[in-house]
Amino acid sequence: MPVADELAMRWRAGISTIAALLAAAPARAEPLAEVTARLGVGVAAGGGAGRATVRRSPVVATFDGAYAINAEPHVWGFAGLVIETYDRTGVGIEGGLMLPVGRRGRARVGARSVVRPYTLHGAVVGASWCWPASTVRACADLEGDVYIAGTDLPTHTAVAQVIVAIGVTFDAW
Amino acid sequence: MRGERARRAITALGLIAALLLLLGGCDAALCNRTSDCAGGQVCSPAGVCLAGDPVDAPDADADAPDADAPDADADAPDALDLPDADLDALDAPDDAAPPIDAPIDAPIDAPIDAPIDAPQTIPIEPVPGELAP
Repeated sequence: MPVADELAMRWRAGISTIAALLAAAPARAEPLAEVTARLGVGVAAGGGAGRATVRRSPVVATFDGAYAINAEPHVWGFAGLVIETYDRTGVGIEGGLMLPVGRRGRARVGARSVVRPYTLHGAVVGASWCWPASTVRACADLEGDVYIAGTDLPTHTAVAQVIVAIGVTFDAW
Repeated sequence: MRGERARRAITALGLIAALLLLLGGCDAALCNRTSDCAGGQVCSPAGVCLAGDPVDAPDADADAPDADAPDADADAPDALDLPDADLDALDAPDDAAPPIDAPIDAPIDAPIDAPIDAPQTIPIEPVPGELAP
């Protein structure tokens, strides 16, 4: 085999290898900590005494911070501030666990309590999808809440609500 | 791949939530929570805003059984419902009673001549230095 052909083959192999390395998406490390702000509204269903009522939920704003508490599987613990607004003003806290879903998704489960001026206690389940997969990203979020106790609830009733929210998340660490 | 599925799932759920909103199932006149109501009102368990103290709501419920009380009594046997035969039976003992002017001949068995013991006298002894009776 002529030397020129051998060199050409080696060049082609090298270029192919480099192209393959460049084409492969590098594994994106999950952030150690991230901060999220969301604003959403939805529908709330509640009631008791043999009937249910459905109406618009309050506007809910959340400001959460998350910190990784486990590497494999990756799990964040999150906590933050909750504000119910627009037609009322309520302030509370929430906290729980959050898992990555794919490269851009997050799923979370936790508890929430509104503490002022009324009280409301319940559970929160949510999922969000963020774009782009970068340090700062916009997120669409869907959340389900169930409130089972508190001074804001009529006696022997519960409220469930579905919130559609938008937000922004950035990696803090 | 998993991210794509998650995105589709979130999109579908979002559309469902939006559809619920558009279906008009919401009624602003109803309430789920007291904070849904105007100031000074409370949300009742029936989903209606009521004025006043939330303690009043259970009282209204507590009054409900009172209205049912006469129904419970109506199920009980009533003396007015007795047939005439029963009423005659009730009157029968009165008819059999003796007339009040009938002579009372029943002797008194207790002996009236039973001896009565003489009352005991308490002797009074003279005390030295005092006048005798």
